[in-house]
Amino acid sequence: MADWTKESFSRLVEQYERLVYTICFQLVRDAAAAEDLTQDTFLAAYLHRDTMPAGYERQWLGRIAANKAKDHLQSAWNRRTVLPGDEAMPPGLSPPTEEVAIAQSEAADIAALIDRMREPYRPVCRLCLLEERSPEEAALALGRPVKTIHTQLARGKRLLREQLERRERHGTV
Amino acid sequence: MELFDPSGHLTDRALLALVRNEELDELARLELAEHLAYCDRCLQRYTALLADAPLLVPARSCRESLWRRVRSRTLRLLTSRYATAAAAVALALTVLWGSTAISLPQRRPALPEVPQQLQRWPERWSDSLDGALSRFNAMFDDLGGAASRPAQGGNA
Repeated sequence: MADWTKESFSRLVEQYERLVYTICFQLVRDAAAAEDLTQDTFLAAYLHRDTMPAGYERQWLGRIAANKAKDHLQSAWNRRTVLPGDEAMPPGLSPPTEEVAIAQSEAADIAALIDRMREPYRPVCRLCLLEERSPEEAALALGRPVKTIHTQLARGKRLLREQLERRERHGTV
Repeated sequence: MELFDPSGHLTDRALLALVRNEELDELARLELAEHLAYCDRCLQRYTALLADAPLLVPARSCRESLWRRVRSRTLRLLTSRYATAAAAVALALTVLWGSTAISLPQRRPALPEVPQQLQRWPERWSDSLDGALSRFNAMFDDLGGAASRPAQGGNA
């Protein structure tokens, strides 16, 4: 469908509204947020309607809905995991605690910890921390978006730091 | 529960947990959403599972509010475009005016030389005016003289 009119797009909304809402709700588990994300999904779909692949509307809308839910969950996660006081410091001056903790540990220990990490963090941390590849290179190697690599790397470092701190407390890896 | 298999894709168990609204913590749901946002294969498996499952119905349909948002966004885009265009025109005019003002003295053609006759004209006009005023004063002097003479004559 190349030329979208208000009527034809309304029919599309009517046809897939429940599917999009279900995807949003199952991911965010909040009815009000899922309603907002459903609307955001269709607004994004309308604004990019010319790129909608004919016959694949279901997949295409599902992808947008998953993206909107991901952004919602990501921002909620970031709000919760920012340490008190960190937000007041310029990003360049704040001490990267994960980097410090990782640098202080033995490389072999780090490699062992990374090998024991779960998906989706293990390959990202292996490529970026052990093989010193850039996030762009890791994205290409793993077939993931660069932005996803950045967020997974940040979360992976955080998991590593937690494991290192736990090891220091208990004296074991 | 294992969300990912060794190849990095979502497990059937994870997808079923999502479809059945089973307990999943926030990080697990974030990881699922992140994966579904880029993996065609897992998204297809997920939407296929949803095709057989009862879909949820939102309390408020987004249809009406969607078109309101589309309209307001279009209006905002148009306003922004006109504002940008107006700013560009204002900037272009300012630059044009500035460059004209700077280069104007160089471009202005030299004025033609004023003929000598014309150069003398103000002097001649001034002389004529002086002459007229002198004659005017002399006339009053004459009148004054004529008026005083009989009196002087009368006294004498």
